Amino acid sequence: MKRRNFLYGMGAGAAVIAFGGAVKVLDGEGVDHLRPPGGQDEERFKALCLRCDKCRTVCPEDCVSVASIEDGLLNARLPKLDFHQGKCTFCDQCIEACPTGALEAFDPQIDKIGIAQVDPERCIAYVSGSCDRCNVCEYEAIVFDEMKRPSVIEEKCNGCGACTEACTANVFLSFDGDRRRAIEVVRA
Amino acid sequence: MTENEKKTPSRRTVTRLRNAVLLVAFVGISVGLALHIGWGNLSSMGIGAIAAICPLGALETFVASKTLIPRAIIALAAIIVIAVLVGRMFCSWICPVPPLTRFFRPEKKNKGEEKGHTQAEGAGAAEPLSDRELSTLKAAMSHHHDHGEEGCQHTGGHHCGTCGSLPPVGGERDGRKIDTRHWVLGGSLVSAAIFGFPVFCLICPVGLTFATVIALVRALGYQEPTWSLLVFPAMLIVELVVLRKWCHKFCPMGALLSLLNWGNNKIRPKVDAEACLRSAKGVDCQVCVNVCPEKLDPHSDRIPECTKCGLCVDACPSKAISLLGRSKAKAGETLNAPAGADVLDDAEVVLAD
Repeated sequence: MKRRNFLYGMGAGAAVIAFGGAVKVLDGEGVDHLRPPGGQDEERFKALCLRCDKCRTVCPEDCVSVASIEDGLLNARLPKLDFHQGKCTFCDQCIEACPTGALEAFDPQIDKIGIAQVDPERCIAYVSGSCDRCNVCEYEAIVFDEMKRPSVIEEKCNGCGACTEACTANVFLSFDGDRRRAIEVVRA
Repeated sequence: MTENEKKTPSRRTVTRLRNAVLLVAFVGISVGLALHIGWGNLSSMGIGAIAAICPLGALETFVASKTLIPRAIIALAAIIVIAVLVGRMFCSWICPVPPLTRFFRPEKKNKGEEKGHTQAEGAGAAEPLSDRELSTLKAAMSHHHDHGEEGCQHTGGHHCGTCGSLPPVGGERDGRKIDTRHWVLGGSLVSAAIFGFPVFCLICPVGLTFATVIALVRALGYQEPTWSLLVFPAMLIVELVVLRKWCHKFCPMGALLSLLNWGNNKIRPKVDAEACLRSAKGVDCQVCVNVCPEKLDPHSDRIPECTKCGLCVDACPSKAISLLGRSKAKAGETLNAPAGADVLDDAEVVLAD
């Protein structure tokens, strides 16, 4: 009986280890999600995040969302930023709430959540002209050319998402169910 | 007698209180998740920077990141102090998994020798005693009715109070034992160290419970219905229903808390020897051992697996057990009465139930 329990125990312990390996292998290259400020080192972030959900619930701008099972088992329940709900104001509440230090101190003048990219095929200013809704950047990272079309100065952009929040391209133009807007922040 | 009738509704005092705490904890956390109050869930609870942390999760992040984050160390130290003081109290007073297990996997009644254990949590107030216990008590009562206090007959190897007491029964899981849960605990830490992320967090039933609540909040509040809404509860049900007895066989959190549960002798069931039927009356009463979901004997010196659920306190026919060191019997409900009389009245109440 004792011997049997010992074998069961070994089996259960080995199963947990095998599960970790399987998840890691299936995850492959991972998903390029935007993390809350201070969580940009993906390897470090994944090692420390407990999926406790505190950063999502403390965010006053509601820009912290949560990854679903569609994003993979390893990614599921990790926080990701969704600037369609709001922008990051670097209020640091998520960093303060993070119990494991997965979110480190973040300086919006130096560090980057990501960099905004304009999609000329969606941008109303490129397609038909006369839209400057994204002209809200407080870091002066968005400039408009002589045709009043926006582009991003990568050095100045820290990925706060204010331009994405303001973009109305996907409200006025329909793009077969894709919810991407004409300016989106991508990982730096 | 009227006093006894008044006492009857409070028979399951601890269980009622515990169920209320469980409900408040679950509803409070869910409301916090839905309304963005930000007090967190069982992975990490608190306001702002002052927050508790799941001790298992904290250890996993330490080994996964190969770093020691000061803040997590402080939170972990605080939790360890609490665990040393209250042991596995989390398991029966806060954790949503035991109630969910009972919901998805109602205990089958009348199942051979496990009867006493399986009925413990599931049967509730209606049937706190097994047939064996009832016959024991019936025997005890007839013994007293026939012979009074001085009448002493050694029937069936029993001794009565005036001429001896019975030793404790002993529980199957008394003392410190290494079992499957400890292996899962070790496997979780090794896995986190090898693969660089808190592996167990992905399958933790507590995490999956609140992940389901969060998925529901996202689906309803943000029009973000995802497969999470089906996959997380499905994983949870597989763990609780297919793997069976998650808490006793697999939960590394329970293993960790029981390992930390040393030096704790304040909050644990304590038996008043003067009121206990075994020691005071020599009756072969085994109610407390049979009702214990952890298969422990509250008479034992070392019961680190005790979750302080209070089922033994509520089930004891002579009210000899208490969690805080002051049994109802000691509080004057039985001792001031003619010896034995109230105990037997209480036994009658149990039988009437």
